[in-house]
Amino acid sequence: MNCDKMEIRRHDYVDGLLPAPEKLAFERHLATCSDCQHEVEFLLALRRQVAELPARIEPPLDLWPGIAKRTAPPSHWRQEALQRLKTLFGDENRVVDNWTAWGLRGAIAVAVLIVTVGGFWYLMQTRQAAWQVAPLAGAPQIGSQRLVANGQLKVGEWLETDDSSRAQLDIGLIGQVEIAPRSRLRLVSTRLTDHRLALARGKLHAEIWAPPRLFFVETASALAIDLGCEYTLEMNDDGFGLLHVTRGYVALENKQGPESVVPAGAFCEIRPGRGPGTPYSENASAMLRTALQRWDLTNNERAAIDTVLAAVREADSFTLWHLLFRVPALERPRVYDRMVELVSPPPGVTRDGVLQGDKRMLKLWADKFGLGQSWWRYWLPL
Amino acid sequence: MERDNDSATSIASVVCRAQNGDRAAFEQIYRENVGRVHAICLRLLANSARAQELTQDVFVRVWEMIGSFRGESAFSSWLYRLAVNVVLVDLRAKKRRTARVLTTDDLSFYDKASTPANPGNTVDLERAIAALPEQARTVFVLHDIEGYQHNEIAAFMEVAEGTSKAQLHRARKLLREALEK
Repeated sequence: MNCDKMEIRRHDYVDGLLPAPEKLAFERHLATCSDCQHEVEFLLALRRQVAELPARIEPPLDLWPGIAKRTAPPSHWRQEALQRLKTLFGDENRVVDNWTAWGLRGAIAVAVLIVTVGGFWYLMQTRQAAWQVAPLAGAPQIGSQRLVANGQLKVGEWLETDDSSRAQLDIGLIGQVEIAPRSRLRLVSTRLTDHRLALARGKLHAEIWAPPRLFFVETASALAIDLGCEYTLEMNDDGFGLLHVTRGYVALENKQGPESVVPAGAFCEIRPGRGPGTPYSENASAMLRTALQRWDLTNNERAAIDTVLAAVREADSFTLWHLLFRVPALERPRVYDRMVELVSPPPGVTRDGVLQGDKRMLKLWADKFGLGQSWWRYWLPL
Repeated sequence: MERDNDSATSIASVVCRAQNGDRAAFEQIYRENVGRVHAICLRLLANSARAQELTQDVFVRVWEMIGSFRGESAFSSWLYRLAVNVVLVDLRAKKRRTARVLTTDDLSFYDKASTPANPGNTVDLERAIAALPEQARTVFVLHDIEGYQHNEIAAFMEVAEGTSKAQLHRARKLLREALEK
Protein backbone atom coordinates (compact mmCIF):
# COMPACT_ATOMS: atom_id res chain seq x y z
CA MET A 1 0.00 0.00 0.00
CA ASN A 2 1.10 3.54 -0.65
CA CYS A 3 1.61 5.27 2.69
CA ASP A 4 1.05 8.75 1.26
CA LYS A 5 -2.52 7.68 0.72
CA MET A 6 -2.90 6.12 4.15
CA GLU A 7 -3.12 9.30 6.20
CA ILE A 8 -6.90 9.40 6.29
CA ARG A 9 -7.05 5.71 7.20
CA ARG A 10 -4.59 6.17 10.05
CA HIS A 11 -6.84 8.83 11.57
CA ASP A 12 -10.00 6.84 10.88
CA TYR A 13 -8.38 3.76 12.42
CA VAL A 14 -7.49 5.59 15.62
CA ASP A 15 -10.94 7.22 15.70
CA GLY A 16 -12.64 3.84 15.25
CA LEU A 17 -14.27 4.94 11.99
CA LEU A 18 -12.99 2.14 9.72
CA PRO A 19 -15.49 -0.58 8.79
CA ALA A 20 -14.37 -4.08 9.84
CA PRO A 21 -12.93 -5.21 6.46
CA GLU A 22 -10.95 -2.00 5.99
CA LYS A 23 -9.81 -2.15 9.58
CA LEU A 24 -8.41 -5.65 9.07
CA ALA A 25 -6.69 -4.63 5.85
CA PHE A 26 -5.19 -1.62 7.55
CA GLU A 27 -3.98 -3.69 10.49
CA ARG A 28 -2.26 -6.05 8.07
CA HIS A 29 -0.55 -3.08 6.48
CA LEU A 30 0.29 -1.61 9.88
CA ALA A 31 2.13 -4.75 10.91
CA THR A 32 4.62 -4.22 8.09
CA CYS A 33 4.85 -0.44 7.78
CA SER A 34 7.04 1.43 10.24
CA ASP A 35 5.86 4.87 8.99
CA CYS A 36 2.27 4.04 9.76
CA GLN A 37 3.26 2.46 13.07
CA HIS A 38 4.98 5.67 14.16
CA GLU A 39 2.07 7.79 13.04
CA VAL A 40 -0.50 5.63 14.79
CA GLU A 41 1.64 5.57 17.93
CA PHE A 42 1.72 9.35 17.91
CA LEU A 43 -2.04 9.60 17.41
CA LEU A 44 -2.65 7.20 20.29
CA ALA A 45 -0.16 9.06 22.51
CA LEU A 46 -1.89 12.32 21.63
CA ARG A 47 -5.22 10.81 22.58
CA ARG A 48 -3.77 9.76 25.96
CA GLN A 49 -2.38 13.24 26.51
CA VAL A 50 -5.70 14.83 25.60
CA ALA A 51 -7.44 12.56 28.08
CA GLU A 52 -5.19 13.98 30.79
CA LEU A 53 -6.19 17.57 30.09
CA PRO A 54 -8.28 19.04 32.88
CA ALA A 55 -11.98 18.95 32.12
CA ARG A 56 -12.53 22.06 34.21
CA ILE A 57 -10.55 25.28 34.09
CA GLU A 58 -11.86 27.72 36.64
CA PRO A 59 -11.86 31.35 35.51
CA PRO A 60 -9.39 33.53 37.40
CA LEU A 61 -12.23 35.70 38.72
CA ASP A 62 -15.64 34.84 40.08
CA LEU A 63 -17.95 35.67 37.16
CA TRP A 64 -21.13 35.27 39.18
CA PRO A 65 -21.54 38.94 40.23
CA GLY A 66 -21.58 40.00 36.56
CA ILE A 67 -23.99 37.24 35.61
CA ALA A 68 -26.24 37.97 38.57
CA LYS A 69 -26.36 41.62 37.55
CA ARG A 70 -27.18 40.84 33.92
CA THR A 71 -29.91 38.39 34.84
CA ALA A 72 -31.44 40.46 37.64
CA PRO A 73 -35.21 40.96 37.31
CA PRO A 74 -36.29 44.33 35.82
CA SER A 75 -37.90 45.54 39.04
CA HIS A 76 -34.62 45.12 40.79
CA TRP A 77 -32.91 47.00 37.99
CA ARG A 78 -35.42 49.83 38.29
CA GLN A 79 -34.85 50.09 42.01
CA GLU A 80 -31.12 50.34 41.44
CA ALA A 81 -31.69 53.05 38.82
CA LEU A 82 -33.89 55.00 41.19
CA GLN A 83 -31.30 54.71 43.90
CA ARG A 84 -28.66 56.08 41.56
CA LEU A 85 -30.89 58.98 40.57
CA LYS A 86 -31.49 59.76 44.22
CA THR A 87 -27.75 59.83 44.76
CA LEU A 88 -27.36 62.19 41.83
CA PHE A 89 -30.30 64.56 42.43
CA GLY A 90 -30.84 64.34 46.17
CA ASP A 91 -33.48 62.49 48.06
CA GLU A 92 -36.57 64.41 46.95
CA ASN A 93 -38.88 61.70 45.75
CA ARG A 94 -41.06 64.07 43.78
CA VAL A 95 -38.17 65.36 41.65
CA VAL A 96 -36.78 61.87 41.17
CA ASP A 97 -40.14 60.37 40.25
CA ASN A 98 -40.94 63.13 37.75
CA TRP A 99 -37.53 62.85 36.25
CA THR A 100 -37.84 59.08 36.13
CA ALA A 101 -41.28 59.28 34.51
CA TRP A 102 -40.06 61.61 31.77
CA GLY A 103 -36.83 59.68 31.44
CA LEU A 104 -38.74 56.45 31.05
CA ARG A 105 -41.04 57.98 28.44
CA GLY A 106 -38.04 59.26 26.53
CA ALA A 107 -36.27 55.91 26.80
CA ILE A 108 -39.37 54.09 25.59
CA ALA A 109 -39.71 56.47 22.63
CA VAL A 110 -36.05 55.96 21.69
CA ALA A 111 -36.38 52.19 22.11
CA VAL A 112 -39.48 52.10 19.88
CA LEU A 113 -37.65 54.13 17.26
CA ILE A 114 -34.59 51.86 17.38
CA VAL A 115 -36.72 48.71 17.22
CA THR A 116 -38.74 50.10 14.30
CA VAL A 117 -35.75 51.22 12.27
CA GLY A 118 -33.71 48.12 13.18
CA GLY A 119 -36.62 45.82 12.43
CA PHE A 120 -37.24 47.47 9.07
CA TRP A 121 -33.57 47.17 8.17
CA TYR A 122 -33.43 43.55 9.31
CA LEU A 123 -36.56 42.70 7.35
CA MET A 124 -35.18 44.32 4.25
CA GLN A 125 -31.97 42.33 4.67
CA THR A 126 -33.63 38.99 5.25
CA ARG A 127 -36.07 39.56 2.43
CA GLN A 128 -33.06 39.88 0.19
CA ALA A 129 -31.81 36.35 0.92
CA ALA A 130 -31.55 36.20 -2.84
CA TRP A 131 -29.78 39.04 -4.64
CA GLN A 132 -31.30 40.85 -7.58
CA VAL A 133 -29.49 40.31 -10.87
CA ALA A 134 -29.91 42.54 -13.88
CA PRO A 135 -28.42 41.56 -17.25
CA LEU A 136 -26.39 44.48 -18.63
CA ALA A 137 -25.53 42.77 -21.92
CA GLY A 138 -26.23 39.41 -23.51
CA ALA A 139 -27.82 36.67 -21.42
CA PRO A 140 -25.94 35.77 -18.24
CA GLN A 141 -26.76 32.38 -16.80
CA ILE A 142 -27.92 31.42 -13.31
CA GLY A 143 -27.39 27.70 -12.93
CA SER A 144 -28.60 26.32 -16.24
CA GLN A 145 -31.11 29.12 -16.90
CA ARG A 146 -30.32 32.00 -19.18
CA LEU A 147 -31.31 35.37 -17.83
CA VAL A 148 -33.06 37.63 -20.30
CA ALA A 149 -34.79 39.87 -17.75
CA ASN A 150 -34.12 40.72 -14.09
CA GLY A 151 -33.77 37.65 -11.89
CA GLN A 152 -32.58 36.46 -8.51
CA LEU A 153 -29.39 34.76 -7.43
CA LYS A 154 -30.03 32.55 -4.42
CA VAL A 155 -27.49 31.34 -1.88
CA GLY A 156 -25.50 28.47 -3.38
CA GLU A 157 -26.36 29.36 -6.99
CA TRP A 158 -23.77 30.12 -9.66
CA LEU A 159 -23.90 33.13 -11.97
CA GLU A 160 -21.93 32.84 -15.19
CA THR A 161 -21.29 35.28 -18.01
CA ASP A 162 -20.02 34.32 -21.46
CA ASP A 163 -17.91 36.32 -23.91
CA SER A 164 -20.69 38.79 -24.64
CA SER A 165 -22.71 39.02 -21.42
CA ARG A 166 -22.42 41.20 -18.35
CA ALA A 167 -24.58 41.45 -15.23
CA GLN A 168 -25.21 43.67 -12.24
CA LEU A 169 -25.85 42.32 -8.76
CA ASP A 170 -27.52 44.25 -5.95
CA ILE A 171 -25.84 43.19 -2.71
CA GLY A 172 -28.79 43.45 -0.37
CA LEU A 173 -28.90 47.12 0.55
CA ILE A 174 -25.18 47.62 0.90
CA GLY A 175 -23.83 47.95 -2.61
CA GLN A 176 -23.61 46.78 -6.19
CA VAL A 177 -21.31 44.49 -8.11
CA GLU A 178 -20.85 44.50 -11.86
CA ILE A 179 -19.81 41.20 -13.38
CA ALA A 180 -17.63 41.32 -16.49
CA PRO A 181 -17.79 38.83 -19.41
CA ARG A 182 -16.26 35.35 -18.94
CA SER A 183 -16.86 35.31 -15.18
CA ARG A 184 -18.21 32.66 -12.87
CA LEU A 185 -19.22 33.31 -9.27
CA ARG A 186 -21.41 31.90 -6.54
CA LEU A 187 -23.48 33.55 -3.82
CA VAL A 188 -22.11 32.04 -0.61
CA SER A 189 -24.12 33.85 2.04
CA THR A 190 -26.26 36.89 2.57
CA ARG A 191 -26.65 37.64 6.22
CA LEU A 192 -26.80 40.81 8.21
CA THR A 193 -23.08 40.76 8.94
CA ASP A 194 -21.81 38.63 6.09
CA HIS A 195 -22.50 39.25 2.39
CA ARG A 196 -20.26 36.84 0.57
CA LEU A 197 -19.46 35.85 -3.01
CA ALA A 198 -17.04 33.27 -4.32
CA LEU A 199 -15.32 34.33 -7.53
CA ALA A 200 -14.13 31.23 -9.39
CA ARG A 201 -12.87 33.20 -12.40
CA GLY A 202 -13.39 36.44 -14.26
CA LYS A 203 -13.71 40.02 -13.13
CA LEU A 204 -16.01 41.98 -10.84
CA HIS A 205 -16.24 45.61 -9.95
CA ALA A 206 -17.69 46.23 -6.48
CA GLU A 207 -19.03 49.46 -5.06
CA ILE A 208 -19.94 49.21 -1.40
CA TRP A 209 -21.50 51.89 0.73
CA ALA A 210 -21.94 49.92 3.95
CA PRO A 211 -19.63 49.98 7.00
CA PRO A 212 -16.40 47.98 6.61
CA ARG A 213 -16.24 44.19 6.84
CA LEU A 214 -19.72 43.34 5.65
CA PHE A 215 -18.86 42.30 2.10
CA PHE A 216 -16.43 39.50 1.27
CA VAL A 217 -15.25 37.89 -1.94
CA GLU A 218 -13.67 34.46 -1.66
CA THR A 219 -11.19 33.41 -4.31
CA ALA A 220 -9.02 30.33 -4.67
CA SER A 221 -6.00 32.18 -3.29
CA ALA A 222 -7.24 34.95 -1.00
CA LEU A 223 -10.24 36.50 0.67
CA ALA A 224 -11.07 40.12 -0.24
CA ILE A 225 -12.62 42.05 2.63
CA ASP A 226 -14.34 45.31 1.90
CA LEU A 227 -13.25 48.14 4.19
CA GLY A 228 -15.65 50.70 2.71
CA CYS A 229 -14.64 51.05 -0.89
CA GLU A 230 -14.78 50.54 -4.62
CA TYR A 231 -12.55 48.05 -6.33
CA THR A 232 -11.99 45.67 -9.24
CA LEU A 233 -10.96 42.09 -8.66
CA GLU A 234 -9.93 39.76 -11.43
CA MET A 235 -9.04 36.07 -11.07
CA ASN A 236 -8.06 33.41 -13.58
CA ASP A 237 -8.74 29.67 -13.43
CA ASP A 238 -5.33 28.96 -11.92
CA GLY A 239 -5.84 31.15 -8.85
CA PHE A 240 -3.78 34.13 -10.06
CA GLY A 241 -5.47 37.46 -9.62
CA LEU A 242 -5.18 41.22 -9.42
CA LEU A 243 -6.94 43.65 -7.12
CA HIS A 244 -7.22 47.32 -8.02
CA VAL A 245 -8.71 49.62 -5.40
CA THR A 246 -10.17 52.90 -6.61
CA ARG A 247 -11.74 54.18 -3.39
CA GLY A 248 -11.26 53.38 0.31
CA TYR A 249 -9.42 50.21 1.33
CA VAL A 250 -9.63 46.47 0.74
CA ALA A 251 -7.98 43.85 2.94
CA LEU A 252 -6.69 40.70 1.29
CA GLU A 253 -5.90 37.73 3.43
CA ASN A 254 -5.30 34.05 3.24
CA LYS A 255 -4.81 31.51 5.98
CA GLN A 256 -1.05 31.34 6.02
CA GLY A 257 0.50 34.62 5.03
CA PRO A 258 0.33 38.19 6.22
CA GLU A 259 -2.67 40.29 5.31
CA SER A 260 -2.38 43.07 2.74
CA VAL A 261 -4.41 46.23 3.18
CA VAL A 262 -4.66 47.88 -0.21
CA PRO A 263 -5.50 51.59 -0.32
CA ALA A 264 -7.16 53.55 -3.12
CA GLY A 265 -4.92 53.93 -6.14
CA ALA A 266 -3.04 50.70 -5.49
CA PHE A 267 -2.76 47.21 -6.95
CA CYS A 268 -2.16 43.92 -5.22
CA GLU A 269 -1.31 40.70 -7.04
CA ILE A 270 -2.65 37.39 -5.80
CA ARG A 271 -0.89 34.08 -6.34
CA PRO A 272 -1.95 30.50 -5.69
CA GLY A 273 -0.28 29.05 -2.61
CA ARG A 274 1.13 32.45 -1.63
CA GLY A 275 -1.97 34.58 -1.29
CA PRO A 276 -1.80 38.35 -1.51
CA GLY A 277 1.47 39.92 -2.57
CA THR A 278 2.96 43.23 -1.49
CA PRO A 279 0.66 46.03 -2.69
CA TYR A 280 2.00 48.85 -4.80
CA SER A 281 0.84 52.20 -6.10
CA GLU A 282 -0.71 52.34 -9.58
CA ASN A 283 2.07 54.86 -10.39
CA ALA A 284 4.86 52.61 -9.13
CA SER A 285 7.80 52.29 -11.51
CA ALA A 286 8.27 49.17 -13.59
CA MET A 287 11.51 48.53 -11.68
CA LEU A 288 9.67 48.55 -8.35
CA ARG A 289 6.89 46.29 -9.61
CA THR A 290 9.34 43.77 -11.02
CA ALA A 291 11.41 43.74 -7.84
CA LEU A 292 8.28 43.25 -5.70
CA GLN A 293 7.15 40.38 -7.91
CA ARG A 294 10.56 38.76 -7.49
CA TRP A 295 10.39 39.20 -3.75
CA ASP A 296 6.82 37.90 -3.48
CA LEU A 297 7.73 34.82 -5.49
CA THR A 298 10.93 33.94 -3.65
CA ASN A 299 10.72 35.65 -0.25
CA ASN A 300 14.47 35.26 0.09
CA GLU A 301 16.12 37.32 -2.64
CA ARG A 302 18.14 40.04 -0.99
CA ALA A 303 18.83 41.71 -4.33
CA ALA A 304 15.10 42.20 -4.81
CA ILE A 305 14.93 44.15 -1.54
CA ASP A 306 17.91 46.26 -2.67
CA THR A 307 16.04 47.16 -5.85
CA VAL A 308 12.82 47.90 -3.97
CA LEU A 309 14.63 50.22 -1.56
CA ALA A 310 16.28 52.03 -4.46
CA ALA A 311 13.07 52.37 -6.47
CA VAL A 312 10.56 53.52 -3.85
CA ARG A 313 9.31 57.10 -3.62
CA GLU A 314 7.22 58.80 -0.95
CA ALA A 315 4.00 57.59 -2.58
CA ASP A 316 5.28 54.00 -2.22
CA SER A 317 5.86 54.20 1.53
CA PHE A 318 2.84 51.98 2.27
CA THR A 319 4.58 49.31 0.15
CA LEU A 320 7.58 49.49 2.50
CA TRP A 321 5.21 49.27 5.46
CA HIS A 322 3.88 45.98 4.10
CA LEU A 323 7.37 44.77 3.27
CA LEU A 324 8.44 45.38 6.85
CA PHE A 325 6.23 42.49 7.91
CA ARG A 326 7.42 40.17 5.19
CA VAL A 327 11.21 40.44 5.22
CA PRO A 328 13.40 38.46 7.65
CA ALA A 329 14.29 40.19 10.94
CA LEU A 330 17.80 41.01 9.72
CA GLU A 331 16.45 43.02 6.79
CA ARG A 332 13.90 45.01 8.79
CA PRO A 333 16.22 47.81 9.97
CA ARG A 334 17.14 48.93 6.46
CA VAL A 335 13.53 48.68 5.25
CA TYR A 336 12.43 50.74 8.24
CA ASP A 337 15.25 53.27 7.74
CA ARG A 338 14.27 53.75 4.10
CA MET A 339 10.65 54.22 5.12
CA VAL A 340 11.47 57.02 7.57
CA GLU A 341 13.61 58.69 4.92
CA LEU A 342 10.43 58.99 2.86
CA VAL A 343 7.85 59.61 5.60
CA SER A 344 8.42 61.17 9.00
CA PRO A 345 7.45 58.79 11.80
CA PRO A 346 4.42 59.60 13.93
CA PRO A 347 5.16 61.30 17.29
CA GLY A 348 6.00 58.88 20.09
CA VAL A 349 7.60 56.31 17.82
CA THR A 350 11.24 55.21 18.02
CA ARG A 351 13.25 53.04 15.65
CA ASP A 352 14.20 50.54 18.35
CA GLY A 353 10.62 50.35 19.57
CA VAL A 354 9.28 49.52 16.13
CA LEU A 355 12.00 46.98 15.40
CA GLN A 356 11.33 45.31 18.73
CA GLY A 357 7.65 45.06 17.81
CA ASP A 358 6.24 47.60 20.25
CA LYS A 359 2.52 47.21 19.59
CA ARG A 360 1.61 50.79 20.47
CA MET A 361 4.19 52.14 18.04
CA LEU A 362 3.15 49.75 15.28
CA LYS A 363 -0.43 50.88 15.83
CA LEU A 364 0.64 54.54 15.50
CA TRP A 365 2.35 53.75 12.19
CA ALA A 366 -0.66 51.81 10.95
CA ASP A 367 -2.88 54.75 11.88
CA LYS A 368 -0.56 57.11 10.01
CA PHE A 369 -1.09 55.07 6.85
CA GLY A 370 -4.80 54.90 7.63
CA LEU A 371 -4.57 51.10 7.81
CA GLY A 372 -5.64 50.58 11.43
CA GLN A 373 -7.18 47.24 12.37
CA SER A 374 -5.04 44.50 13.80
CA TRP A 375 -3.30 43.17 10.75
CA TRP A 376 0.15 44.34 11.86
CA ARG A 377 0.01 41.80 14.67
CA TYR A 378 1.12 39.20 12.16
CA TRP A 379 4.58 40.48 12.65
CA LEU A 380 6.17 38.53 15.44
CA PRO A 381 9.51 40.25 16.02
CA LEU A 382 12.50 38.14 16.98
CA MET B 1 -25.85 3.43 40.56
CA GLU B 2 -27.96 4.64 43.46
CA ARG B 3 -25.65 7.61 43.83
CA ASP B 4 -26.02 8.38 40.08
CA ASN B 5 -29.78 8.31 40.41
CA ASP B 6 -29.60 10.60 43.45
CA SER B 7 -27.31 12.92 41.55
CA ALA B 8 -29.61 12.96 38.49
CA THR B 9 -32.61 13.62 40.73
CA SER B 10 -30.76 16.38 42.48
CA ILE B 11 -29.72 18.03 39.16
CA ALA B 12 -33.27 17.71 37.83
CA SER B 13 -34.59 19.33 40.99
CA VAL B 14 -32.10 22.22 40.78
CA VAL B 15 -32.89 22.75 37.09
CA CYS B 16 -36.61 22.67 37.82
CA ARG B 17 -36.21 25.29 40.54
CA ALA B 18 -34.14 27.48 38.21
CA GLN B 19 -36.83 27.11 35.53
CA ASN B 20 -39.27 28.53 38.07
CA GLY B 21 -37.09 31.57 38.62
CA ASP B 22 -35.15 30.41 41.69
CA ARG B 23 -31.93 32.41 41.48
CA ALA B 24 -30.21 30.39 44.20
CA ALA B 25 -30.71 27.27 42.07
CA PHE B 26 -29.35 29.14 39.05
CA GLU B 27 -26.28 30.15 41.05
CA GLN B 28 -25.80 26.49 42.00
CA ILE B 29 -25.91 25.56 38.31
CA TYR B 30 -23.30 28.23 37.66
CA ARG B 31 -21.02 27.08 40.49
CA GLU B 32 -21.18 23.44 39.42
CA ASN B 33 -20.57 24.09 35.71
CA VAL B 34 -18.50 27.22 35.37
CA GLY B 35 -15.19 25.32 35.21
CA ARG B 36 -16.36 23.13 32.33
CA VAL B 37 -17.96 26.00 30.44
CA HIS B 38 -14.92 28.21 30.90
CA ALA B 39 -12.65 25.39 29.71
CA ILE B 40 -14.72 25.06 26.53
CA CYS B 41 -14.67 28.81 25.91
CA LEU B 42 -10.96 29.16 26.67
CA ARG B 43 -9.90 26.29 24.44
CA LEU B 44 -12.09 27.37 21.54
CA LEU B 45 -11.12 31.04 21.76
CA ALA B 46 -7.51 30.76 22.98
CA ASN B 47 -8.04 34.10 24.62
CA SER B 48 -8.45 34.35 28.36
CA ALA B 49 -10.27 37.69 28.57
CA ARG B 50 -12.71 36.80 25.80
CA ALA B 51 -13.28 33.37 27.34
CA GLN B 52 -14.37 35.00 30.58
CA GLU B 53 -16.73 37.34 28.74
CA LEU B 54 -18.30 34.52 26.80
CA THR B 55 -18.56 32.31 29.88
CA GLN B 56 -20.71 35.09 31.33
CA ASP B 57 -22.71 35.25 28.10
CA VAL B 58 -23.28 31.51 28.21
CA PHE B 59 -24.80 31.64 31.67
CA VAL B 60 -26.92 34.64 30.78
CA ARG B 61 -28.21 32.59 27.83
CA VAL B 62 -28.79 29.65 30.15
CA TRP B 63 -30.96 31.86 32.36
CA GLU B 64 -32.89 33.11 29.34
CA MET B 65 -33.35 29.68 27.78
CA ILE B 66 -33.58 27.31 30.70
CA GLY B 67 -37.35 27.24 30.30
CA SER B 68 -36.87 25.53 26.94
CA PHE B 69 -34.89 22.65 28.47
CA ARG B 70 -37.26 19.66 28.36
CA GLY B 71 -34.94 16.96 29.69
CA GLU B 72 -34.56 15.08 26.39
CA SER B 73 -30.81 14.99 27.03
CA ALA B 74 -28.68 15.37 30.13
CA PHE B 75 -28.74 18.95 31.38
CA SER B 76 -24.94 19.12 31.20
CA SER B 77 -24.99 18.10 27.50
CA TRP B 78 -27.59 20.79 26.81
CA LEU B 79 -25.53 23.36 28.68
CA TYR B 80 -22.19 22.53 27.01
CA ARG B 81 -23.81 22.44 23.57
CA LEU B 82 -25.21 25.89 24.30
CA ALA B 83 -21.73 27.05 25.31
CA VAL B 84 -20.23 25.75 22.06
CA ASN B 85 -22.95 27.51 20.09
CA VAL B 86 -22.42 30.81 21.88
CA VAL B 87 -18.69 30.69 21.17
CA LEU B 88 -19.05 29.66 17.52
CA VAL B 89 -21.66 32.32 16.83
CA ASP B 90 -19.38 34.88 18.41
CA LEU B 91 -16.39 33.66 16.40
CA ARG B 92 -18.36 33.89 13.19
CA ALA B 93 -19.75 37.33 13.94
CA LYS B 94 -16.52 38.87 15.15
CA LYS B 95 -14.06 36.92 13.06
CA ARG B 96 -13.32 39.78 10.73
CA ARG B 97 -13.17 42.45 13.36
CA THR B 98 -11.06 40.99 16.12
CA ALA B 99 -7.42 40.12 16.32
CA ARG B 100 -6.73 36.72 14.92
CA VAL B 101 -3.33 36.28 16.48
CA LEU B 102 -2.85 35.28 20.07
CA THR B 103 -1.05 37.35 22.59
CA THR B 104 1.40 35.55 24.79
CA ASP B 105 -0.61 36.64 27.83
CA ASP B 106 -3.38 34.32 26.76
CA LEU B 107 -1.08 31.32 26.57
CA SER B 108 0.33 31.95 30.02
CA PHE B 109 -3.10 31.25 31.43
CA TYR B 110 -2.47 27.55 30.95
CA ASP B 111 0.47 27.66 33.36
CA LYS B 112 -2.04 28.07 36.15
CA ALA B 113 -4.62 25.72 34.73
CA SER B 114 -2.51 22.60 34.28
CA THR B 115 -3.08 19.40 36.20
CA PRO B 116 -0.49 18.64 38.81
CA ALA B 117 -0.06 15.02 37.68
CA ASN B 118 1.72 15.79 34.41
CA PRO B 119 2.12 19.52 34.32
CA GLY B 120 4.79 19.90 31.61
CA ASN B 121 3.06 17.84 28.94
CA THR B 122 -0.33 19.30 29.70
CA VAL B 123 0.88 22.87 29.44
CA ASP B 124 2.78 22.13 26.24
CA LEU B 125 -0.28 20.53 24.72
CA GLU B 126 -2.62 23.33 25.83
CA ARG B 127 -0.24 25.89 24.35
CA ALA B 128 0.08 23.96 21.12
CA ILE B 129 -3.70 23.68 20.84
CA ALA B 130 -4.09 27.39 21.50
CA ALA B 131 -1.61 28.18 18.75
CA LEU B 132 -3.49 26.17 16.11
CA PRO B 133 -5.29 28.04 13.31
CA GLU B 134 -8.83 28.88 14.39
CA GLN B 135 -10.75 26.35 12.33
CA ALA B 136 -8.36 23.49 13.05
CA ARG B 137 -8.40 24.36 16.75
CA THR B 138 -12.18 24.48 16.84
CA VAL B 139 -12.54 21.05 15.26
CA PHE B 140 -9.80 19.53 17.42
CA VAL B 141 -11.33 20.87 20.64
CA LEU B 142 -14.82 19.75 19.68
CA HIS B 143 -13.80 16.31 18.43
CA ASP B 144 -10.82 15.17 20.45
CA ILE B 145 -11.50 17.01 23.72
CA GLU B 146 -15.26 17.46 23.86
CA GLY B 147 -16.10 14.24 22.03
CA TYR B 148 -18.47 15.55 19.37
CA GLN B 149 -18.86 13.58 16.12
CA HIS B 150 -17.97 15.06 12.73
CA ASN B 151 -21.61 15.37 11.69
CA GLU B 152 -22.35 17.39 14.84
CA ILE B 153 -19.26 19.57 14.32
CA ALA B 154 -20.18 20.12 10.68
CA ALA B 155 -23.62 21.33 11.81
CA PHE B 156 -22.14 23.58 14.50
CA MET B 157 -19.66 25.16 12.12
CA GLU B 158 -21.85 25.22 9.01
CA VAL B 159 -19.24 23.30 7.02
CA ALA B 160 -19.20 19.94 5.24
CA GLU B 161 -18.41 16.84 7.26
CA GLY B 162 -15.34 16.27 5.09
CA THR B 163 -14.08 19.73 6.03
CA SER B 164 -14.38 18.84 9.69
CA LYS B 165 -12.33 15.68 9.15
CA ALA B 166 -9.73 17.48 7.08
CA GLN B 167 -9.34 20.17 9.73
CA LEU B 168 -8.98 17.55 12.45
CA HIS B 169 -6.20 15.79 10.55
CA ARG B 170 -4.54 19.12 9.93
CA ALA B 171 -4.75 20.02 13.61
CA ARG B 172 -3.19 16.73 14.69
CA LYS B 173 -0.40 17.13 12.15
CA LEU B 174 0.34 20.65 13.35
CA LEU B 175 0.27 19.47 16.96
CA ARG B 176 2.79 16.80 16.13
CA GLU B 177 5.10 19.38 14.61
CA ALA B 178 4.66 21.69 17.61
CA LEU B 179 5.12 19.02 20.25
CA GLU B 180 8.16 17.46 18.60
CA LYS B 181 10.02 20.78 18.37
